[in-house]
Parts: sequence; C-alpha cells; structure tokens
Amino acid sequence: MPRRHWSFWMPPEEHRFIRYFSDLYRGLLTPLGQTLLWGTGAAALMMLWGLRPAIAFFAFCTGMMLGALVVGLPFRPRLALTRRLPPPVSAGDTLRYQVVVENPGRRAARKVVVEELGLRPELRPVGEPTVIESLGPGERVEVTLSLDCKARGAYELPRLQASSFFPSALVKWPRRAPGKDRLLVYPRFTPLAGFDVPHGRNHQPGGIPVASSVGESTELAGTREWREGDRTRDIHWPSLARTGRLVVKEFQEEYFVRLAMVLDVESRSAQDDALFERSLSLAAGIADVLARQEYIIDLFAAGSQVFHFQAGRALAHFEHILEILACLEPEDRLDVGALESVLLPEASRLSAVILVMMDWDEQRAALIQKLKQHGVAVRVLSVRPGRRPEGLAPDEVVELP
Amino acid sequence: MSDAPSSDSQSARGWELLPVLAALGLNAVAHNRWLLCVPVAGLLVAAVALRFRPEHSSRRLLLSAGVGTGLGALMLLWGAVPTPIPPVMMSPLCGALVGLSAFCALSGRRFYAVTYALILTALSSAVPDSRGTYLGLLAVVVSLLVSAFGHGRMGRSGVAGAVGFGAFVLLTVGATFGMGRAIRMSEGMLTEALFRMSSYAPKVTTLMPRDITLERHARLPETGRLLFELRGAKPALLRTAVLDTFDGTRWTTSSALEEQRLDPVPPRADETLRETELTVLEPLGPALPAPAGTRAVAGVNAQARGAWVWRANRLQEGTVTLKHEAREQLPSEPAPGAALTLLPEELRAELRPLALEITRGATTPREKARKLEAWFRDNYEYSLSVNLQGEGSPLAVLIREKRPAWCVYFASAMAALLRTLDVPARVTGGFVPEEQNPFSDAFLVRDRDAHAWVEVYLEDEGRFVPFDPTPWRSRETIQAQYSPGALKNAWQAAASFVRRGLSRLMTSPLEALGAMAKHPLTWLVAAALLAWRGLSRYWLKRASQPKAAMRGTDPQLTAAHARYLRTLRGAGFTPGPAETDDELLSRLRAARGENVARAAEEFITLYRRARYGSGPVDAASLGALTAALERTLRSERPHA
Repeated sequence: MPRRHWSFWMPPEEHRFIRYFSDLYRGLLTPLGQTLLWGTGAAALMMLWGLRPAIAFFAFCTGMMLGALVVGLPFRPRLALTRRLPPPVSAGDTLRYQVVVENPGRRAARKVVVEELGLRPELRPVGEPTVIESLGPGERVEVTLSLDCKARGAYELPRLQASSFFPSALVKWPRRAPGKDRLLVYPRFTPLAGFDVPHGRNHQPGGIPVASSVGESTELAGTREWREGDRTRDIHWPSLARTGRLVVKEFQEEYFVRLAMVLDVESRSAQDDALFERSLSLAAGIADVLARQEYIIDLFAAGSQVFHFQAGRALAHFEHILEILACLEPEDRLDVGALESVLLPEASRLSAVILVMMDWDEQRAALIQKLKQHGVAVRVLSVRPGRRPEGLAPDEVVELP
Repeated sequence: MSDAPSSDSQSARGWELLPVLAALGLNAVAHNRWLLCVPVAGLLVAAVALRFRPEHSSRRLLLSAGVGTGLGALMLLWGAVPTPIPPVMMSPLCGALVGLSAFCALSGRRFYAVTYALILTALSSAVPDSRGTYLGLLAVVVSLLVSAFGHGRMGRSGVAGAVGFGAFVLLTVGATFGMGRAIRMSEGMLTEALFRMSSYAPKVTTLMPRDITLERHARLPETGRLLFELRGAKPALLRTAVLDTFDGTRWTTSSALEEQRLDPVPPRADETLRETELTVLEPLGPALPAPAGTRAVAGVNAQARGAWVWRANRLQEGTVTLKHEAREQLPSEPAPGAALTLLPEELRAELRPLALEITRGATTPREKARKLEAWFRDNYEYSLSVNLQGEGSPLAVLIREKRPAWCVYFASAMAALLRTLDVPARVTGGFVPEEQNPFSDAFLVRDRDAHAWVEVYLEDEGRFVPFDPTPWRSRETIQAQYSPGALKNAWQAAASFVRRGLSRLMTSPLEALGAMAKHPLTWLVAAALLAWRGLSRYWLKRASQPKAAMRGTDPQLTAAHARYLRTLRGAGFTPGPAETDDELLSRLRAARGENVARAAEEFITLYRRARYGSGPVDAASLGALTAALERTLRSERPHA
C-alpha cells in the first residue's frame, strides 16, 4: 500500500477524522437528508437573532429530522450481508462484486440501500447505490457494488452496511455486516513490448528433479549401448527384446533459468513516491513478461533492510509476485551494503539480475559491476528522469517506456 | 454529498424544482426581491418545459454565483428590508444563492439545488413577522415534504408507503410545534449564552441592581468572585445604590434621585481625610463603591449623584483613591418629603399592626429604628434561600412567621415597617469588607460581600443614618465556610502586587518609580547586587589569571610561544605532533650544539612557569629569550 506523507494540505478525505464524520454523514442520511441538515444549520444561525419566522423554519427543519429519526426506527431492517469478491484487479480498474442480501427477519425490509463505508480514499464507490424496494422474510437478493480502485495495496473493507430509509427518505437506519474482507489491488502493469530476458554464464544447479522434489521427472533423451557401470534400472527392456542386446536409456537434465528482480524501494518525498509507484508498475510489467516463460524469479525488495521473496514455478507464482508488489512500502534509504550481503551470495546461482532502480549513483553502479564480475547478466532500469544508468553496455540498460 | 445528474423526465424535473421555486418565492416576498426572483423562477420553468439542460461545470457554477451576487447587489437600489445582517451583505448573498440554486436545478444537480434553496430560505426567514413570510415558509415546507415523498419513491410501496409517510408527516408537524414552543419558552437564553461565551461581551458586574424584586421563593447564588480590594483605612460600609421607591414587592431608585447631581465639599488644605485605595479587579460598571462621607475621588472621573451615591464611567481596572471623613456619615440634608414614607395601602394596613407591636414603647424615629433593628437581629436566621409562600404579601409572611432570608429581605422589611410608622426610610445596597489577606494586608471584597441595609432619616441629626437589621451571627457562620487557604492568599497577594505595580507604572510612571526608589526593599536588593558584584569580581580576578594561563588564553604567552616556534621552524626544527619539549631540545642539542639547546631550554622553562605555574611572568623576558635564541641559532652553525 502506498505510504502517505501526512500534510495539512492533503485532500480532506485523507484525514481520518474527516473520513469518520463523512461516513456518519453518508451512512445515516440520504442525500435529501444531508440537504436538510445544511438547511437546519443555516436556520440555527439565523434563529439566534430571535426573529419568529427564522425560529419557525428552524423548528420545522429540526422537527423533520426528529420525525424522520423516530418514524424510521420500527423499520430498521434485519439483514445478513455477504460479499462475493472476484479475483483482484489492477490499480485504476473498477472492481465489481456481488453482495448477497438475505432477510432472516419476520418482517419485510423496505427501501434498502447497500453500500460500503469506512473505505480508504483509494477506493471510491461508483454510481448511486441500488435500492431494494422490498425484501420479504427469508428472501435473498444479490446486488452489485462497484469500487473504483485508484491505487495498489491490500485494503480492508471494514463496514458493509444495509440501511432502510423507509418511510421518511431522509434518515437511514443501518444494519452492518460483522465481517471484514481483504481486498487486494495489484499495481498497474506498464506493458513492455519486447523485454529481452538476459542469460548469464552460470551453471544452474538443481533443475526440475530438485525443483519438483517428488518422483523422477528427468526427460528421456534417447538410448545407447550398455556400458560397464550403467545401472540395471536404466536398461531399456523393449530394445533388449527387439535386438537381443543390452540397451540403456539416456536422460537429459532440464534446468530452469533463475532470475532475480531487485526493487529499489528508496523514497524520500511525495515525488519519490510517485516514482516508486512507477517502478512497481514497471516491475509488474516485467514479471508479466517473465511469467509467460519457465523462469524462477527471486524478488529482492531493497531499502534499509532487504527482503527476499522466492517465487515457485507453479502457475500461481505470477499472482504471488503481484501480491508482493501490491504490498511493498517505500523506505527512506537504500542500504547498498545490506543488498550486497544478500544478493552476492546468491549470484552464483542466478542467471541474471533485473534491477529497477529509483536513482543512479556510484554505489549502485559499483553493485552492478560486482554482479557482473560474478558472471551474472544484468538489466538495469532507473525510473528517475534524467538519471540514466551510465557505464553499462547499451543492451544492459532498459529504456523506460 | 454526491449528486449525480437526475433523470431527464420532464415531470421528475418539475418535482425537483419545487423547493427551489418555493425558496425563490419566499425570498421575493420576505425581502421584496420580486424583480430578481420572479424572472429566475420563470426561466427555470421555461427551461424545464423546453427540456433545456446546461452542462454542469465548476466554472459555470462560479459564474452563476457571481452573476447572482451582482444582481443581488443591484437590487439594493430598490431598497432593502431590515434584517440582522446588514443589507449590503444580505442582498448579494441571497443573490448568489438564487444564482447557485437556479443553475444547479437547471443542470440537474438537484440535491445541491435544494441545499442552496434551503440556505436561501433560512436567510429569507430572518425578517420580522409577516403573513407573506409565513405563507412562503409553508410553501417551502410543503415542497420539501413532496420532494421527500418523490425522492423516496414512496408511491411504489403502496399503502404501506402512504401510511408510513403519513406518520412521518404527523410526527414532523408535532415535533415542529414542540420545538417551536420549547424555543419560545427559552427565548433569549441561547442567544444570551452564546454572547456570554463570546469574549467580546462586556463583563459588567451589577453590584447592587437598580431594582430588587422580592420573590416568594428564591435562592441567592453564592459566588466568591473577587471584585476589588481595599488598602488603607477600612470603611465599614461601601455604598453603591440607594432604592427609595417601593411598590409592595419591588424596590427601585426613583428617577429624581438618579438624575440628581450633588457637589461634595472639597477637602480643605488643613483638613486630614482618611484615604482608602480601591483596586478594581473585575469591571464594576458605573457604580463606584464608596463609604458615606466621601469627599473626593482620585484616579477616575467620578460624580456624586442623589443620596450621595458615586458614579464613575468605565471603571474596569486600575486603582482609585477615596478620600473620606473619619466618621462615616452622610452629609446633613433637609428632611425628605412624603415619598420616603409611601407604601401601598394594603401593605401598610397589613404591616402597621406588626410595626406598632414591635416598636411598642418607642417614641422617636431613632428608638423605633433601633427596636426594629434589634428585633430582626434577635429573632431571625440568615439563609441563602428564601421561601415566603403563604397568606399575604411576602414581607408580611416574613415578619409574621420569622422565616429565614437574606439581607435584602430584612432591609426591605425594616424599611417597610418604618414607613408604616411614617418614618422616612430607604434601602441601601453595597458591600461590607470583611476578609483580609494576611500577606498583603488588603481587604478583599467578593461577590458574596454584597449587602443591603436601611437608611433612616433622623430629624435630630438632620441626615440619613444607617441601620442594619441582618442577623450577623448566622451570616458569619455561612461566610466562615468560604475562607480561603494560605496558599490562595499568598498567590492572590503576589498577583495583586504585580497588578498594582503595573497599573501604577502605566498610569503614573514617575510616581511609581519614585515610590519604588523610596522603598527599603529596593535599597536592600541594590545593596545585595552591589555586594555580589564586588565580591564576584574579586574572586574571579584572583582565580582568572592562572586559569587563563592553564587554558592558554593569555594572548602575550600565546604570542611568545608562537614566536619561539616560528624561530625553530625557521632553523628547520618543526616540532612533531607527538614530540615533547625535552625530545625537541635533545634534537636541537644534537643538531646545533649545546648553546642553542640551552637558549631554547631557558625559554621553555620560563614559558612553562608562566603557563603552568602560578607566578606572574613578564612577557618581555620571554620575548628577550626568544630573541637570544634567534641570535644563537644564527651564530651557531649546524653540525656537519
């Protein structure tokens, strides 16, 4: 989830207490009720001068609010709510999901509105909520809610509310779902037209048998004449039956290409945060390209500490990478020494390293050189405008799209 | 408030327009803005009929507000109705709201339109009563209810919707009337509370109100707010108000007394008057507490009014000096007319038998007054709550049943009883200073020291004489509960000292500085400062020389050593960073011979004595040694 740099001048919905009052305001009043509340406030001010028409108008506004509050109480719905969330979407997309509304009560619920409250400002409800005219006892209905997901992150959907504004159309009496759901929003992909996956010279130990760790999944490459020392279990019995000579099976080891993706999470300002989001978006694009091929990807998130995530070769590994990218937070500084101490011991087992850098300086350049000395192919991206990586071969620098 | 564009249906748009049209109508009626509101309403209706819907944008919204403001300002040419907000602001503001609500209604932002319309309604309703205004308000109310019905689509809920909405309307009507009644009952309280909270509200203390109503059931709030303090001669009573007219339940000051101006006899040069310094701590209003016999007031422009009550303008802070006679008595004056023996006939008839019974045996007004004073003091209890419910007037109940009360009731009763006996009497209000701060010796006068007593005109003296019927023994019991602690007294004394000092400095700086210069404490502090300064200089001077040398801060020493090092460097001997003086001397001896080493050793010995020893060293001798070293270095050739 992107970190927020607190500022008095940030948009009002970013302030927690404003969100709280906004939720109360939206959760308990219909738009017409909100309108009346403003009218009541203005009338209260005008009433202070003690003029009778102003007092009469104030009395009417407050009377209408009180009347709406009292008359709606007996119609407070008794409802059970369940969200049915689809797979995660990317930042900037609209998430549509269903909410199952069930009436376990004995009376019909009228004029029911289902809406999400307590949402972070990165998630915005789209459109007007649907009104369920009437839901009889035991009846169940599905409504579709839409959320505009503006930024990546792992969010909580804290309050799902079903409320009835019957019969005043001013005040909503709510019923809230007890459970909270987690919503993951992936970073937006930056599509990379042609990303040339680098390959280094390093031997890749392990391979499929090690990676699978169950059974013998080496590939049959062919057969040959038996030689002294061959295992009897490798004898190819059909060939023996056909030729009368001992023939053994030959196998070929299959290897994965193991890549590391290093994400520089150094960010010191709101401008840096925007660049950081861009770097994550690029990383998601690269992961998308890599996921189409049989690569094992190691992800290093490097800030003041270095976190190492290893993704498997299972089909779900791309989703896992996106989940990690969705939850990464920026840090104040990049500790290149810490990154070296984690990355260089792994270098001998890596074919290539893709580095998404927030900036370009001598320390970062020295790290690249050390990686190259270990025989690792590198691809470097620097997201900061005007800080293109220097001292590298042209094919080692990835141009920003 | 989210406000998506509403539907395009003509009838739906018509319903949505209702509150806006009603608000425009109300503004036209209440503020006489027909020229603005009627064309706008006509345009709105025409636009809906012609299905005209402009695009909503912030720029257009601002433009509509601007145009509305301009038109509202233009409307001022046709006059303005009186409103609490000045017309110069009210008219453009209403114009802006007209523009905003009309544009939002046209562009389909119905909830914004209704919001602006309701604010316009609130502003329009801030006018005096008129039938048209109430009709306009009714139109807004009805349009709002219709909007709620339409917005909630209650028609789709059939009978249940109609019944439910009907119940809502009934409840709204009931709550509206209930709220209106509650507001009318508490009229003014809220406004007053708000103004009290405001720091701009003047904090006027009414020491003794101009009129006193004798309630049958009442309670006196007990507050310990410090109002002013007194220094110098302590007066027994401080007068602030004289109430000479009584209608049976209410004492007031007559206008004749209020408007009368008196000229006290100015103090003669050879006359010695007592002086009381009064420091105001809370704004006192126009009444200046002063004892009887006050001849002059310094520090404020004060005027003696009827019955020798002193008035001063804007007495909010500062110190005032009261110059009064040692004997606190009012000046002689001719006998008052019949006004001071007036009483309602019913009350006179009710009280006279009681008065005659109490004063049986007394023949002169003085004796009658003394008897009555003693009777009240002996037979009554002081209390901060009074209950005079019973048969007859409150005073009759008080006298007949001897119920507990406070000073105002006792004074009223005694004055009334005297009047029934045709003895001129009046009620006087003021303060009785009692509490003394042991730290400042000042007398502190608080809210709770307010008091009322009776002034009786005695013909034999030719003046009004005070009599106090309040039973002090029980009042003192109550007062004793509120005696402040030593810490509070000390704090009050310190605060008062600072406040008075600052006040004097502001009002008469020369006098204040002169007083400060004469004060023995000033001389004591000055002497202590001088002693400390002299001693510290002596000790610092003794300690400073070796310390400066130890720190290497003596500039002569530093210069001599620098010259010594320069000489050695010139000869090619730069001391190493870890090289000691002795090692350097050994190096010199080996390289340039014994003479050079000896000359350097002499310098270094003297320098060490000056730097690290305690004895004084002449800088000139150090310079001479360095010069000798230079000469020796020049004369002695380096060893091969």
